[in-house]
Amino acid sequence: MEWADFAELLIAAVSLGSIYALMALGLVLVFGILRLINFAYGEFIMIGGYAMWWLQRLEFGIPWGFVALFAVVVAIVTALALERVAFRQVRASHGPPINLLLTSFACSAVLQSLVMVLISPRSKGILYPPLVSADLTLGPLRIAAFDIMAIIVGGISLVGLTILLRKTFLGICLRAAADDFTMTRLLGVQADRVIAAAFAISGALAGISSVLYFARIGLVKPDIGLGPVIIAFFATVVGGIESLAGAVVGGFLLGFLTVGLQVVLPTSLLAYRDAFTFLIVIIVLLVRPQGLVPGRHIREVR
Amino acid sequence: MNSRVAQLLGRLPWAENALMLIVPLLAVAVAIDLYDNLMLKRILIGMFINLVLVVGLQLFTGNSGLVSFGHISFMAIGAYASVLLIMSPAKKVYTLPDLTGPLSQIEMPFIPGILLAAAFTAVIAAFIGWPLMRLSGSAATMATFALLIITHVILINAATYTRGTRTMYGLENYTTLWMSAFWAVLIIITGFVFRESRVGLMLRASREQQEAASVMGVNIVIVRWVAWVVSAFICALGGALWAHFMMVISPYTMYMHTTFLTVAMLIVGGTGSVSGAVAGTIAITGLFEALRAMEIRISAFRIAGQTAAGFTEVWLGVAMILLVVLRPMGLTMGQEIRLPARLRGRLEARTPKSEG
Amino acid sequence: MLVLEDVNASYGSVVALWGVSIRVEEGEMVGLIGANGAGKTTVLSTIAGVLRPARGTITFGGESIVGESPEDIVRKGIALVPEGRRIFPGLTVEENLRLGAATRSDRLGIQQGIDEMYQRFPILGERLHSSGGTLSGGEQQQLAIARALMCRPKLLMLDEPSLGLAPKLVGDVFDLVAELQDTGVTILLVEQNVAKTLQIVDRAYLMRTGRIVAEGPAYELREAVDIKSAYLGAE
Repeated sequence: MEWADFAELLIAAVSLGSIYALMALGLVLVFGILRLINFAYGEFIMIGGYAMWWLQRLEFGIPWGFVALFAVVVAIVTALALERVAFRQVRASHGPPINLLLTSFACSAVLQSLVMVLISPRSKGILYPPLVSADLTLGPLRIAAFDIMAIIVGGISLVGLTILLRKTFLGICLRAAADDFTMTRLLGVQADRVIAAAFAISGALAGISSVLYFARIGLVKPDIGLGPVIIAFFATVVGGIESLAGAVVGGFLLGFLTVGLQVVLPTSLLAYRDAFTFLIVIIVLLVRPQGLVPGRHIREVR
Repeated sequence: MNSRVAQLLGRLPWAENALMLIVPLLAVAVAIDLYDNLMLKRILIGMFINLVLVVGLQLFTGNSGLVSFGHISFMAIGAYASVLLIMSPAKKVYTLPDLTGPLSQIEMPFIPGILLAAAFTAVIAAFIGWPLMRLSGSAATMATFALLIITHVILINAATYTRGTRTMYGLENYTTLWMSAFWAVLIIITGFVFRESRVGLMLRASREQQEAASVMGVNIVIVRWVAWVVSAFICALGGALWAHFMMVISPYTMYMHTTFLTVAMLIVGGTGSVSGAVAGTIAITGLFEALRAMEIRISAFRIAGQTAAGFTEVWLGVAMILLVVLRPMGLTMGQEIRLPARLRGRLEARTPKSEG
Repeated sequence: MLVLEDVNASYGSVVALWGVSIRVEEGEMVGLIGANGAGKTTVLSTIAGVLRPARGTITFGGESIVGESPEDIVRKGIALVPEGRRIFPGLTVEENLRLGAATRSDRLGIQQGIDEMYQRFPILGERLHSSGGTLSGGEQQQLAIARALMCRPKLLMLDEPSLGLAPKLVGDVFDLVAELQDTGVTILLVEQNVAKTLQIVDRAYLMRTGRIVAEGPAYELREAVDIKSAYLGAE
């Protein structure tokens, strides 16, 4: 393999990894506090895609940056709305933790069917500016402009999230709540507010990743959210479900794995790629249940 | 007569609970069989098969406290395995042309066929469960979720045996109303028997207090594993019944959505009891059918053929959340259903004191 | 100031408290003593709103606090230093303290409060930016108390502050608690170390298996406990 080929693959892997890391962060933020694998998370991404499609259909030629921003805002609003009307009510009823899981499943089903009924079960195309789909030539390298965009946007989002978590009071609350939620409440931090904030940030990350994700696939359909949820789930478990750094590591690992297996695996086995990937999940859970990047401590919720 | 019943209830404390579930179910089956409405019959068969699946899941989740997303894998494996064993060689030539060897020649009767398919699935579950049952809490849930995805990918790619992404057709309709009722009743009884068995008791003890249980010398991994294998057998049976009811199957019909529905039925009813599993299945099936009937009525008024199908799912999801908010511990609050107090009092009055 | 009357509480189906009645007057230091598993921590959890009483009333400053959320109870002025200290290991010392002031919004006052804590607990000032997880047991206990003081509580509840500390440090912790009372904070102290507790508190309640079995001024209980010490120790 030429070094140029290798460099191109590397960039593709980093770009894919950035998207996956963002997806995983959105999932792990909520898990850290509520101990909930939020299956409705994929629908935040799906809704982001439909938001872009809807705005573009409504008025042709809206500046693209505005379309992307709209997707993020709609994803945040969706996340907050679900927290408010569903998750908060279920939490307040003091049932077993499994009820939250059912709620996330139900929310996911409701959103999917709503989109199916109100818009269409068939896929809709999303337009991106020509620049995004262009190829850049850099000496011997041919790089998709899209990959560069994903890496830059992913990087900025990661830095932004880090600053939010490290430097603001909300960030302190979120990290504390992930460590020990009851103790955080015992210090007077409002549980509802912290959880709503976690959902909002989760929605923002879903919105940003939806902009990047749909630039890759170009189409949105009602059940498109399953893919991202499974990706985020993988990255989260393998990286370490107790730590945000783990989600990033897991996301990039999956990016490299996806690109790597594409090259290495013979075509006959390529169809089984996802089976291999999820075998890794089980092995990691068995051998290293805390993931590659362990959190501060593992607390089991009964 | 009454005192005989009372004696039986004294000896088998769960028999009362089981009868409270089985008698009404069978009564409904008789009524609908006599009324002979095809649609009602199909709804009831579907519910009986769901009872098999949900009670099978409850046997594992209710006793071990571990939530599994992987049991629909076993349903799917059981369904495909039963088709391979039961379908006639003449049909296999068309549906599975690449199939060779003994599997292409075999043709078993229905009941031995589904039992063998379930046994095969249980063996697979035994191998998978041996390492998996070491996991606890959310790690176990995640691993079973990964299992669901892996099984799905394999089923889609093992086209020689499954037709891959294409639908498997040409199945005979063996799952009649009374066939499904028979298995549902048998599985409900199994649920109670397992619950009160030595393994069931040890498992429930281990759920409540893990340290105490290991001090008592209970090997948690082994008792969990037994429950896992038994419940995999039951879910595979459910899958086999389902296949020979629908007469067409595909890997997509036994994946996320079915997992969601079965888990939802269990949680809405309450994971802690067999009655909960039964109540949840009845409630969700009833809700679903009622909503669908309403939707058909409403969309009949529409002229322009815009599909209104789908609102059923929306309302079903909303209803589930409402049920969980209003009844957080499940429809039966984790308890088993008992005889009405007056009737029980009359029976107990006749019970010899020594049975007390 | 704080009054519990005939409080029952349970974990699931297991009743943990039976008709517990406790009074704490303003400025007082009250001890809650008894063996492991007597229900002392449960009393604090119930007051703090983590556990909801099945029966009975709890009032603070004349107002009922039953059914309020933990965060609202802190806002009313009741702070808890929990058993095992529960420092946030991933947060720095300073962040732990800032979190303690979650109920306050006066930026200047919070900074002043933090500076005050550094003066009172110099070791925390030295380790400002180390994460809570790297502190020693004694340092963590100081941080836990400082964190609870950050919300300027009217009532401070301490759960086993001496537990798990080196014998030399145990005395220091009791000295510290005694000093706290001098600053005007009302204190409810839960302890297994009966002898040391009865030296510093004004009054005390003795608990056994979820019930209050004796109460009175510290000197009276000292005599009572001396009589019972034989089996108290054996429990």
